[in-house]
Amino acid sequence: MNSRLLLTDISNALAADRGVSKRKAEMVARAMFDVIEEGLLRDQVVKVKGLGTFKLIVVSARESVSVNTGKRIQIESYTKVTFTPEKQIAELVNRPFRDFETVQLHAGTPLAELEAVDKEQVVAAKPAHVVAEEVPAPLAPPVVETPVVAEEIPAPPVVETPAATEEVPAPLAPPVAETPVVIEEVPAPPAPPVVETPVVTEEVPAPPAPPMVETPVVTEEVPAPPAVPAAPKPAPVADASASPAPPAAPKPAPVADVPAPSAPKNMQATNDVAEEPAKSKGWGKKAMLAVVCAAAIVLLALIYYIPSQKSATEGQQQTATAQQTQPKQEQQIEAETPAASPAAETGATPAATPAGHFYINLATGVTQELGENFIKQLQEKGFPDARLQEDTYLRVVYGDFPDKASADAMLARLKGEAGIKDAWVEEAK
Amino acid sequence: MNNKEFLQALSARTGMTQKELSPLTERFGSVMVETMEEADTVNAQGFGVFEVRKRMERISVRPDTGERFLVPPKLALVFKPAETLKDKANQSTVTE
Repeated sequence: MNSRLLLTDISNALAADRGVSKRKAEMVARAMFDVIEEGLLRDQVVKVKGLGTFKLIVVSARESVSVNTGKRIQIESYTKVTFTPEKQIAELVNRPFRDFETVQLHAGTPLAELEAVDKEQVVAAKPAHVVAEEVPAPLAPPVVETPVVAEEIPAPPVVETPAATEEVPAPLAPPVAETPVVIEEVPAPPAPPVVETPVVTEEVPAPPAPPMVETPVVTEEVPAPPAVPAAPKPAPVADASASPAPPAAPKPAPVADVPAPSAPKNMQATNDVAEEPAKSKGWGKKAMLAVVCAAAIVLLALIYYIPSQKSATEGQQQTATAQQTQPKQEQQIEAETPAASPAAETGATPAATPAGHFYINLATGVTQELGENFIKQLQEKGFPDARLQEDTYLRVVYGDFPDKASADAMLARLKGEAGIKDAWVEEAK
Repeated sequence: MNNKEFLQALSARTGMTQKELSPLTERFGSVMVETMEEADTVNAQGFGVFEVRKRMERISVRPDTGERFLVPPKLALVFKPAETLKDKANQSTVTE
């Protein structure tokens, strides 16, 4: 990502696609935009089949208030150029996210649902790696994989702090992802292509996994830098795997580093695993197949284990046994754990609400500064119990009530006395 | 200007027949998007920039029922006109 393409790049691709000369394709591409421009200036609208519609829209003059001085200012009329991609094109662009649907949040349990999503985000951020690492063990029985997922779920006690979850794992994930690359790349040359494949396979099984909760999972997974380019395009697998390799190579140290923060015994496990793949050479296509199967199994396992997230301790026990039986699995677990646990630390909300309580949501998606100002204002009005809370968004919440009735009563007071309009009661998990 | 007029103008400019041109222009969008999978932006000099932007997930409320919906994130292709195009657009409507 992040690179900029020129029209030339597109016309070269077009030339290859249509079997015309690059020169011709470029001439056409340039002429296209010239003609679109001419047409726009002449007719205000240009429709191009296979691309979209360009339009000139006159924005009439309007009055506004200067942000700096508070004075009224006149914004002059101007013309803007808009582009609406054709549906087909819009869908093509959105392909990585195509399976998401708008989901209704039910009045009683808005927070619960959000958290459910976030939990899975954490989990989902993993399957890719989990699968990546399952590759070295094509024989690994499915049963062993399930505990892996289970272990990831306990990791998200992070869930208390979904906002952090969203951001933290993302940056953290790549280093984790690289680690396995190091491990596998060095001892087993056939590994690289497979390492990236999981991302693709991960994407493929997604559609058949309809449970609404499951879908948003990928939400955060997909944006993870490596996923987006890799997912929609199975072809670049080779490229994709090549790119993680260079960053990995210079720092093989992370292999040891990553597990370190979690627990000393994990260190050993990882080291064992690091040597393990050296033995297993020469699995090529079989491994690819295994990856596909593993991805599917992991997804199934995911779906299956989501309801049992609450029984975190159980999951840990299972993993404990799994660790003994399958060293390779351990490595995944270890690799995951540090990823999640820092998230837990950094994102920890100081004002975590105890379970089974109610509070009032006053504002969602505020900045730190705005939130603090808001809290100060409320204090001046005689409402001292407002605080910032971090989940998916940074929010301002109020109070901690043992039951919904008292929360509702306070909500009514807030609405009446502090002039708060858009607030609601939520149950803390 | 619809696609037909567009092709006519394009054909006049390039000297190619409309039959030759239409497969090229019709594939242009998808080829561009496919090529963009590894890049963020495509710059068409003097015309503008096509960009893929991520729209974050959000919670929306149906005002009539008060139902809240979690709208998933999506990727959108956006076009940012170049300064020169903006100027030309402004002038064209001023003179009208």
